[in-house]
Amino acid sequence: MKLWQKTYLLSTLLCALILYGCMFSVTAPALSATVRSATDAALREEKAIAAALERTMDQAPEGRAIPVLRTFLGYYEGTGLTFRVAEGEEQIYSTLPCPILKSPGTLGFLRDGGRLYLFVSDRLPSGFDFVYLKDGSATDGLLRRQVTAAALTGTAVALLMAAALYALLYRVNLPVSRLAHEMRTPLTAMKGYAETLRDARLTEEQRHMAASYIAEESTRLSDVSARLLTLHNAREESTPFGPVDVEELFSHVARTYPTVTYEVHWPTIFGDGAMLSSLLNNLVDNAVKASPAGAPVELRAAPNVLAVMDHGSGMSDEALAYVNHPSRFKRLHPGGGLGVPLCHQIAKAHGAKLTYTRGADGGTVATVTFYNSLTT
Amino acid sequence: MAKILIVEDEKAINDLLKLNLEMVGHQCTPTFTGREAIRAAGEQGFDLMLLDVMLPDMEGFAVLEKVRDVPTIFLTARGATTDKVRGFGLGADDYIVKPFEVAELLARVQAVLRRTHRAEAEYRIDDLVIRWDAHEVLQKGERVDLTPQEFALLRILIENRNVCLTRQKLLSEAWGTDFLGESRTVDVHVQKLRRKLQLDDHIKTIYKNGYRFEE
Repeated sequence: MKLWQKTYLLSTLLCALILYGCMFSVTAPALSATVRSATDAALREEKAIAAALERTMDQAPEGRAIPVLRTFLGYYEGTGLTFRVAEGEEQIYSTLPCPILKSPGTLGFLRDGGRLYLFVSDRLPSGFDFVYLKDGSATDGLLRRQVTAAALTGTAVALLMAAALYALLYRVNLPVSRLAHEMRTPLTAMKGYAETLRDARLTEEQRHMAASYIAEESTRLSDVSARLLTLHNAREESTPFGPVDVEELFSHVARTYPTVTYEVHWPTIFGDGAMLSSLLNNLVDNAVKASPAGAPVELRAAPNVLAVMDHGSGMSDEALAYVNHPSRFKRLHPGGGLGVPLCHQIAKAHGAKLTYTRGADGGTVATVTFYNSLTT
Repeated sequence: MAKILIVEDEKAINDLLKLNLEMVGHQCTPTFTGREAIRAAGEQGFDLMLLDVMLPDMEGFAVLEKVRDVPTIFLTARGATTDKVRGFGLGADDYIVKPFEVAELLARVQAVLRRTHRAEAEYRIDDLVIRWDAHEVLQKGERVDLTPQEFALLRILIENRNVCLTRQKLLSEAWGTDFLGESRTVDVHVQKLRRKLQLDDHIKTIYKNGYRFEE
């Protein structure tokens, strides 16, 4: 596992822990409120019933108090409420689904046979012990739903956060490993051909091939190192900006590519000269490669816009989609290399956006539009 | 001479492998994608496959699953142990991490060919016949006596024919890696080989570098 992945795992774990902690502290008061309201309701109901029972027994004819009590409590059968009345050790009445031995003056929850009950144990003024038991499955369900909702929300948020963080770190860390891989091939080839030249008995033709490969691959290597440097600068976004003369920028590119013609209607950009030069070189290089030999490539600077136009055969819709959003594609486009992603990075560092469109004659137009007031 | 299938998408490296393997007398079929390699392996038999792990159309491991019964050496830029374990688990015979040394590559190729009994049984040059398994050298049909050391040296030189080997390389290959000999030892043995087998025209001294067997 790579270092950034380890760091990522560790920080995600920590964040998830904190997140669950927060979810718990948010949920805990809600849970205790549910419990309190359920016990309060039970206590109120028990007091009402107990008072009514006491009154009814008082009004009963002499010696008929117990039968009256039975009749009175019998009314509650099938309502989810059950009772027990006892005088000392002697049980007078009980419809409880389970034996309960709680001292008078207590209340709370108890679980029996997988069901939740709310109980109130009381002593009536007449001296009877009175136990009130209420089916608590409604409260139980509510509590379960609250806990489940909290856990699900926490997990969803944690997963979302972890995924977003991973995507970010992956993007930041991948290109470097990809570049390192891109360096390995030219290195292998150069080393191999140099050894072959030194050790093997080669024909003139083979010797030429080996030397050409070394030259070619070393160009590729310096290309990668230049990209690496620019990518670093673009990513850091910390290079000092200054006024850049567009005329000079364009004439420099035109010296490298003789088929380039240019017009300047926007004299100065505020930005990083080296990065802008690299951006233009990349765009022009692609345009020249796409053009038939000798066909002109036009550069134009209008206020807030730099454009590179070629008169080649244009790009397929698929290729256009790639060059406009290279980051959406998992793999490098064949032959796409890092040039286009790099151009996007540089544009972004200047608060600009790079877009490729099809020109009037079917060629390709690359436009860099500067939105940031800093650069203009 | 062995028939070797090269599977490597980078043309520069594909050509490099082909150049060096053909130099020492192997016959190579270069392919650039996994699909191409599987097709080539279906059409004819090979003694060895050099297989890049990262191919444009599929992973090298997938190619190995499709191409059975061909001894395989993996070539890869990744040196991760998990890759090695996976490669060996699929029946790869060896594993070379890029960037590799050409001499190292040739030695590994030869080692795998020898181990899988696909190496050539004998080698002929001028009026000499060298039988590797029997450890004997015949000149015009007559046996020539060579010490085991001389035979080992001859073998390394011929297996790497057209490629120059340093005295240090010859010492480590023919005398064993832990042999603390002097490079003079190599010179003495090369002189003896040249004299016994009349190989002066074939075993060339390369200035500042070592010796090379030329056909």
